[in-house]
Formats: sequence, structure tokens, C-alpha cells
Amino acid sequence: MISLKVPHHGNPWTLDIDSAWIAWLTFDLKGEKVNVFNEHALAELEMMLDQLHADERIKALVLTSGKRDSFIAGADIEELAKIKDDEDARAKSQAGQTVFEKIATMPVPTVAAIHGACMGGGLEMALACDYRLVTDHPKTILALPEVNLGILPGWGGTQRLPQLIGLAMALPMILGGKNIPGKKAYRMGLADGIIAEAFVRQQGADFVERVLTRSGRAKVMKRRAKSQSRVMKMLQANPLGRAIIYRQSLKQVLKKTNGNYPAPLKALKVVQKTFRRRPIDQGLVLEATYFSKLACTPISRNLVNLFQASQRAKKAGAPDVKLELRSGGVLGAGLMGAGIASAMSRAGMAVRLKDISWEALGKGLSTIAKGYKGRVKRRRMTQGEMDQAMLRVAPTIDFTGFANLDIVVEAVIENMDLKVKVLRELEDSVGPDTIICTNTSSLPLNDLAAIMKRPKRFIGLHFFNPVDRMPLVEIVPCKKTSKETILAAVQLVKDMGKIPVVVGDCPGFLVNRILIPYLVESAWMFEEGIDIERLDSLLEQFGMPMGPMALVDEVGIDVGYKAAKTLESAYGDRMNVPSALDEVAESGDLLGKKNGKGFYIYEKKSKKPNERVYRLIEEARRRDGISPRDIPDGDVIDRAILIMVNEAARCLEEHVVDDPEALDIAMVMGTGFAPFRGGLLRYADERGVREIMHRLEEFEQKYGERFKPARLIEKVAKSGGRFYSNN
Amino acid sequence: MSPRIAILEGVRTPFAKSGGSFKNVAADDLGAIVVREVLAKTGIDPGAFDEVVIGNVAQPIHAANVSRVIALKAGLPNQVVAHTVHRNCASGMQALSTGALQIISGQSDLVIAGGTECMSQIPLLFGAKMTELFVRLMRARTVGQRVKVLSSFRPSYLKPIIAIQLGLTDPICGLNMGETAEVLAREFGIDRAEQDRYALQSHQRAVEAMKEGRFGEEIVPVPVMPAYERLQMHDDGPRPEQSIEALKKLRPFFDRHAGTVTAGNACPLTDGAVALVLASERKVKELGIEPLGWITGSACAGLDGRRMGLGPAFATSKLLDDMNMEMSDFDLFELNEAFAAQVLANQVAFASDAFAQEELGRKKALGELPDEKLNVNGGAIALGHPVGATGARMALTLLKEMKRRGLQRGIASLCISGGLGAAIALEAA
Repeated sequence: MISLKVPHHGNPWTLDIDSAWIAWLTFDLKGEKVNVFNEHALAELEMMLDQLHADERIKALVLTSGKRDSFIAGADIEELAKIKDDEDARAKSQAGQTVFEKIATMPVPTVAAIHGACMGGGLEMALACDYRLVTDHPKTILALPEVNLGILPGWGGTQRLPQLIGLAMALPMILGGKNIPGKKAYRMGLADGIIAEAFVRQQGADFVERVLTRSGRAKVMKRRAKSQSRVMKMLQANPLGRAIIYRQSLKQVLKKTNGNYPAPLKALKVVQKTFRRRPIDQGLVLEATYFSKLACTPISRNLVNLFQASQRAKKAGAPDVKLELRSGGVLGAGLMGAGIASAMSRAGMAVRLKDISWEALGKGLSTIAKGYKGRVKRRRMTQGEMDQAMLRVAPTIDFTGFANLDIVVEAVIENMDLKVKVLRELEDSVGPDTIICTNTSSLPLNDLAAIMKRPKRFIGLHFFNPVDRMPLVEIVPCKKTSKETILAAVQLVKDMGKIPVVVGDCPGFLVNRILIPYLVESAWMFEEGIDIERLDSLLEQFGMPMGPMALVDEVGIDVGYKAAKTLESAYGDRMNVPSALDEVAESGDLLGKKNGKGFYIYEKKSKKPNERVYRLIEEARRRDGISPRDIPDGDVIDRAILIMVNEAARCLEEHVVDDPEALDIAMVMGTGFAPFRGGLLRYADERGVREIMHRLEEFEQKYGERFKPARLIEKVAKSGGRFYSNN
Repeated sequence: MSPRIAILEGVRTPFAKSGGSFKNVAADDLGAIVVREVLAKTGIDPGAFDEVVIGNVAQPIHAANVSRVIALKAGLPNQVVAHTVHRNCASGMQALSTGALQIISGQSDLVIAGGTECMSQIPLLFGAKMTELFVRLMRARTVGQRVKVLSSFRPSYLKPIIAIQLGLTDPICGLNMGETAEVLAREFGIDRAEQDRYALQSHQRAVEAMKEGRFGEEIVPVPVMPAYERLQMHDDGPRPEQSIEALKKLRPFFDRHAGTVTAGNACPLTDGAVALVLASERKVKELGIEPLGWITGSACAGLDGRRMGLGPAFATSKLLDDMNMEMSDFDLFELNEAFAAQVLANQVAFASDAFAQEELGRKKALGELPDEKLNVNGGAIALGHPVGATGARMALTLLKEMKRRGLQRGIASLCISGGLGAAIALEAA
């Protein structure tokens, strides 16, 4: 997080006691956009609480935030990153627990009046209050996202939340970091009232007045009790019932994390050991213990680093000048084009979607509508919002309306001649200021730029498929692209809610250039006799979201093969595609998941390895003169991963990106590369660049020249350094 | 109206029979699509507009002041104001007149005017007894009271009121529109065969215009909701296979015994929308856009509701008086085909000295409406009549046809339920 570093002087808490003797304690951390609990803020809060505790005139305490549309974002993540050891972590946890315990034991009613994001430690503070009020504003979100940083709620959250709303509702929040909007918090009993942000003081005071009477209090408690389902209450009242809930939760966690993320497992353990079994003081001790076991692990450190890096990436571009992109065009209504048009429309832009036939446009529109309908179903969008978003996408078969567009993304199929033709037409149909982006994953951008009359306003974008779900977009400036054009492209990507990474123009750009060698290497190992399922399961264990063979099926064998061949011709021997892939790709009807036949055969919900692929591979082996051999697990994983590290080093060397952090973000967001490892280069640093060089040299001998270490790896290894220079 | 108002551009949706392609495309969505597209076609900055005026008859309950809803859905910024006009069957034409008057008054320079109607979505209503039961149910406090209220329910309460039927009935004279057509058929002696012949001609002319791509020039395809996969490309009313025999077989619809008006020689219920861009002469110069044509005059006249079908004769007479011109000054005419009987009655009335003397206070007949100058691309019998939109559609079709034929002046007119007639004079640019 980029934040102005103002020394922590002054008290961020202001106390105001009104005429009814309600104490209003307002949190407003100077110099920060949002409130976070740092050591200082906690200590000051503690002093204020002690003072209030002693004041017998006070009737009630209400905690609020002085920030606009934000309550408390949680603990200070920078302090979290600096935790030295287990003891330090335990102390941090206990410090917060102690302060919040003071809220819980206040002799007068305590209320948290929540407007805006109330995350992590902020929610744990609110949980320590007797009552919680939330505003109905869309920015009011309650969550315990600690597991996403590899830790668990260590300030009483694991104790108080299940107590308040029951196991069934609390576990998804604690183990999955689930976001709860204000109104929903009220429905599930997490909050006791809904107020308007404009009237926090008045409606807060009204609420206090009510709970100061016995009947008012009883009413609030009754409603709270009623918001839990009776079945769940019965289930959790009984040890066997609880066992069922825990087993289910464990299953879900393992399914989601492959067992690579210890935090949710530890959090579950704390709840399991304490809920209805230990008094809160003992529970808190256990919570602190488990917190301390997580906080200094490399996994937590990596996740914290990654989080901070992605925050920085989201803020990329020009922070003070916000360009307004109000209208956009998209050429090509295929899956890519429809996805881009959909994202533009969702960002509120008026979109003109062009294709050569109304049939193609109908398909594109229905693709967009299907995506939106899913959102409506999941309540991410209302029907009315969907109708309006659909109306913002105007289908057209000519360039009507293009003259006034702010930005156009060309997304026709990847064919140089076609792109040249379409871009020429497009440039003649748009205004002199319209920015033209070409969406490509494989064509040389500077060749395309050469045909443009206004190359300054031309830039490459690389959206990943499916656009709807992939958070990353590569932005590829050409030699003549202007600074303003780059900023506009960055703005577009950010408006779409995606993460931009600006990369240099080279075949495959950044992500595919690194990822494809991994897939190709997996194909080599397959040809050498490694089972499809073993390959996939080993790399899943490493932490990839899916194995390489399954990924090729997902992408489409034809698409993946074409991309691999392009890189082979661009980079030569080190990207040679094994005959195994030729064989499979040339079979014609093995396309991957899209037609149910690839390296796996796909049935309704299951998949099994495709026997036919094994038969094809026999021929490839005969031709390449390869006889099957066994490769140890460690070599399988390292061959797949280190070949990526090697290529990543070359990308840094060639300044495709300058910053290891940008590369890591791109790989995590673009390919799902194991987030708990902090990214490809972070992983390399942790493993030791020298060791990686030795492994690569070993592989070069054993498996082929393509493993020859990149110059940068040799350089870094020799100096005993790391890719990340500063930490 | 003396100064002329430019029509810069215009588009419409295909007209689709009610209950068909657009049954899930609400009037505001149809309207938003044409406004959005007419904006794109002109390329004028949306922020430059002053007002949006949309004609609409069955105002959708989910979108009060449908014009404003349309404007915002089409992407016009908040500061562009909007209001909806209602002159029944001429609402679309009224939008043009109102827009023109705003420009003449100096209040606006750039206006979007048009009309929209989704007759598919006109709701069925609960009757008074059912409504009252709901009211009592809401007031009931105890379970006992609720049971008591519910026990008073009778199945007959569920008989709906068909809003569209009521809407097509004149509450003053008590006749529905088909019955007013029967009145004219008898008065002017227009028999069934003549009406069917006219209906057939409407289909033939519309089919020909479609084939020649004349409607294609004014239509923007509309994605069919909720799937959005198919786009409605053309009007679905005109029937290439329409035959006189098929028309003959239909039974009279409004007067089962002695009637002549059938579903075949009347206009069908239809969904569709139209939008045009109007501008002051000053604005035209400023924008440097060559207009399609000009509005040079408009008029509305009143008559007996039972003979509302003669509205065009009355309105045209008034228009000519206002403009100090004669029928012979005009080259091409659109006269809305609510019913074949009503168009034919107007042809007689326009040409009749007696009618002019008795009804219009003129010495001589208005002038002939010859077949070859009237509704040359067919009309509402084939295309349908989305009541709020038709008037604007006729103006657009007429202007485009005058340009095609190199003609100068034309008049579009409609008869209006409740005893009104409206007419507008256009000049090709």
C-alpha cells in the first residue's frame, strides 16, 4: 500500500460525549485514506477505554469512523509484514485481544456504528461490542479476510464470530474470507440494525436509547436469535452435529486449496478446539498461539507481499489525472470481442460492437447476456442494471458511430492480413483522437504499427481468455506509442476492474512467453513416459491451479499448439515443440475440453486420461527415438517450473518488464501461478538463485540444451543476490 | 408555424406483430435503441441536445415519463431533459410537432423526437371487486379478519380487464375503433370487396418496398430479448403470399353479422419505435450537417368521435389554410391506414366538393388523393400500427421516399381515436 508516511503522533481517536451521556469514540487516522489498526492506534484506544471505563456518568459507548465511506480496513499490513518471530506474533495478537476484551467488558452497552468497509481487525473490534449497526450503503462490507494473507483472525474473531452468528455462517467468513454486505449482515444477525450514513448520530442515539430499556434490549436479542436457522442451531448444539459441520468445512477448504494453504486449516482447528468447549479467555490464548504459528511463515509473507504488489499494480498509471473513457468500440464479436465489450459496458461505457454479420453479432450479444445473467443470478447485478448494460452495447455491421469513440479495441481473429485490412478501415473511420488498441497474443505489434497513419495512438492489448474471469491484461506499447496512449490503455483496463501490466513487445509478450515453455516442457516429459495424471497432480501439489495437461485442454489444443509453434519459430531451439504435440495436434479432432476430447476425455463431471493420446505418443517416440524412462518427482516439478524461471530471467534481461514484482503479479494473475509462493521470481529467490542455476546446469546435461541458464541467472547467482534487490 | 425545422436523421426499429418478437422488449428499450442509433448516425455529441420528446400511448407502468427513461438508457447525459407526449394514435407525430414548436419558441435548438409502443406489454388489470378485496386484505390485522376477507373471494373476480380493449374504445361515443370504421364504410358505401382490395395493395406495396431495401434504409435491427441471440431485421407484418381469397375468408371482427371490417383489412396490433433528430436552421449551419428534410407545418383538427377516421381530411384542410397552400402544391402523401374503409372514405372526402362545403367550410374539394401518390410503400395494414410510433414513422418514410423520387413536398396525416386528426407538412432537402 502506498501511503504517506506521517509519524504517528497525535491521538487518532476523538471522544465526544453528548447530552444524553452517550460517548462517541471516532477513529480517524491522520494522513491515511483509511483507518488501520497500528500499534499506536491500538494503544491510544486502550487508554481511551480505560478512561471511559472509570467514568460512571457514561450511559453507552458508540464506536465510529471519521473516514469517508470506510470504517476500519483492518490491521496495519505493513506492521504485519514486519513481524519478527513467533513470539512477536503472539504479542501482536495478544495486544489486540486485550484491548478488545476491554470493549467486551465495558459496564455500559457498546455499539459499533459501521459505515464502509469493516475488515479483519475492524470487524473483530465490532464483534467485541454488544451491538453492531450497519449502513445500507453498498460500500459497507464486513469480512475477515485474514486467511487471504496466510494468517487467521487473531484478535478474537475466531471466538466471537461463531458465538454470535453460529458455526454455519461464521466458518465461510473465517475460512474463506467471505464478504458480507451491510444488509446481509443484518439478515444473518451479524448486525442489529440498519441506519443511514447521513443520520449515524441520530439513528445511533435512537438505537442506544432503545437498548437501554429492558424491553428494547429483549427485542434486539430476539431478532438476533431468530436470524439463525433452527436446523443449524440444533446441529451445532450437539458434538456430532458440529463434527458434521467441521468435516464439510474441511472438505471445502481442501478442495479449494489443495492443502497448500495452512491458514484456513489452522483457523478451523482453533474453532473446532474452542467453540462450545473452552471459555473465551482460554480460546483467545489458543487463537494467539495458532496465529503466531502462521504469521512468520514464508507463505504468509508471500501472500502479504503479493497483496501489496497487486495494490500497487491497481494504482498504476497516472493517479492524479483520471482520464474519462466514456465510449468504446470493439471489432469482432467472437468470444474475445464479446468479453471485452461486456467489460467495457460493465464499466459504464457506451460500446459499439462491430462484426461482419448480424448473426455473428447475435452470438456475441447472447454471450454477453449469458455472462450478465449469471451475475444477476449471483446477485452481483440487478435485472435493471443488466438491461441497461445490454443497451449500452450497440451491435453494428458498419462503422456508424465510430467517429466519436474514445477508444477502440480490435479483436478479430489472429491473422496478419485480416488485422492489417481491418485496422486500416478502422483508422479511416475513427476520429483523430480515438485510441486504437489491437488485441493480439501472437502477432508482432511493431509490424502492425507500421501500417498505421497515427502510430502514436496505437497500442497492443492482450486480454486473456475468458475475459470475464481473467484479471490480467498485458499492455504492449509499440515504439511510437505515445505516453498518453499508454495511460489511456491503463485506464481502460483499470476501469474494467482488471490489473494492467505494461510489457515490451516480444513474441508471446510476457505471460505466454513464460507459460508456454512450461506447457511444452510438460509435453516433453509426457513423451518421455510420464503419465498425464502424474504430471498434473505433481504440479497441482506444487501449487498450480490446474496441471499443465489439463490446462492445455482448457485452452484448446489447437490454440495452445499454434502459440507454441509461433514461439518455436521466434525463439528457436530452446522452445522446440516435441513430436508428441505435433502428433496430438495434427490428429485433427483432439481439441481439448471444448469438444470433450484432449489429453483427457471429458464426461459430464469427470475426466479420465485419453487412451488414444497414449497410442499417438508411441509413434512420436518411435520417430524421435525416445524410449520411456522414469523421472523422479523432484525433476518433474523442477523441469516444469525452472524452465519458467529461466525464461522469466531472460524477460528481465531484455526489459520486457523491468520489475520482478510486475512479472510476479502478471504470472499470478495471468496464469494462477501458486500465490502462496509469492510469484515465480519470489519463489526463485526463496529457493536460492544459485541452487536454481545448478539445477538448470544439471538439466542441461540430462535433458537438453534448452535448460542452459540465462545470463541474468548466472549473474545473480554469482553475486549471491536475488531477483528482488531490496528484500 | 412559419420557420422551417430541420430533420437531420431518423431511424426506426422493425415493426413486429404484438405477442411476437418484441413481447419481451419493453417500450422504453425499443425507444432507447432507436435514440441510441440515431445519435450514432448523426455523430452529434449527446450533451448538445436540449430535449427528448417521445410519443407513447399505453404508458408502461414500470417507466413513467417513458421519454426520460429512454433518454437515459440511450446514453444521453442527465442535463438533457425529456418529456412524453400523448395524442393517442398521433402521439409519434405530436412528438415532432411539439419538438418543432420548442425550437420555434427558441427554447431548444436540438431535439430528439419520436415515438414508441410495445402493445404486447399492455397489461391485464384486476377488476374493481378483486382490487377491493386486496385493499381489505391489506387492512386486515388478525388472522381471523384475513380469513373472513379471503372467504368473500369469488372466482369471477379474476376476470381481467383487458386494458388494450378499453384503450381502443372511445369513452365518449362508446364505439371502439373498428366500429367507427364500420360507420364510415356505411356512410361512404365502401363495401367489403373494396376494403379487401385496398388491404391487398398495402401488402403488395410494403413487400415491394422491403424487397427493394427501402425500409432497410430506416431500420436498425433489434436483438430479441431475453436471449439476445436473434436480431429482428425486418418488419414482420407484410405478407408476400397475401391473396384476395385469403382476405375474403376472414369473418368481420367488430360487427359479426352485417360488418365489413376484418382483421385483414384493419391494421394489426404492433410493437416498434422511431426516433428523429430535429434542429433549428441555425443549428444545422453550426453543425454543418446536410438534413434529410424540413418540417414546414403541422395541424390538428377535431371532429365527431364516431367519424374519427375522417381526421386526416379535417387536419389537412386546417394545415393547408394555415400554410396558405393547396393540395396541388404537394407531391406525395402518407395517410395512416388504421382501416382500409377509413382510408378509402378519406379519398372520397378529399375529392368531394359537397364534403368540403358541408364539413370543412370550403367552397371546393381539398383535392384528389390519387392512388399513385398515396401510401406508395404500403401502410399500417401491412406494417402494423404501434400507436405511439406510427406518426413519426410516416414522416420518416415519406421524407426518404420524396428524396428517392426527387420530389419536393409531402403531407403525412393520421386519424385519432377520440375524434381528432393530425397532419404534418414536410419538404425534402
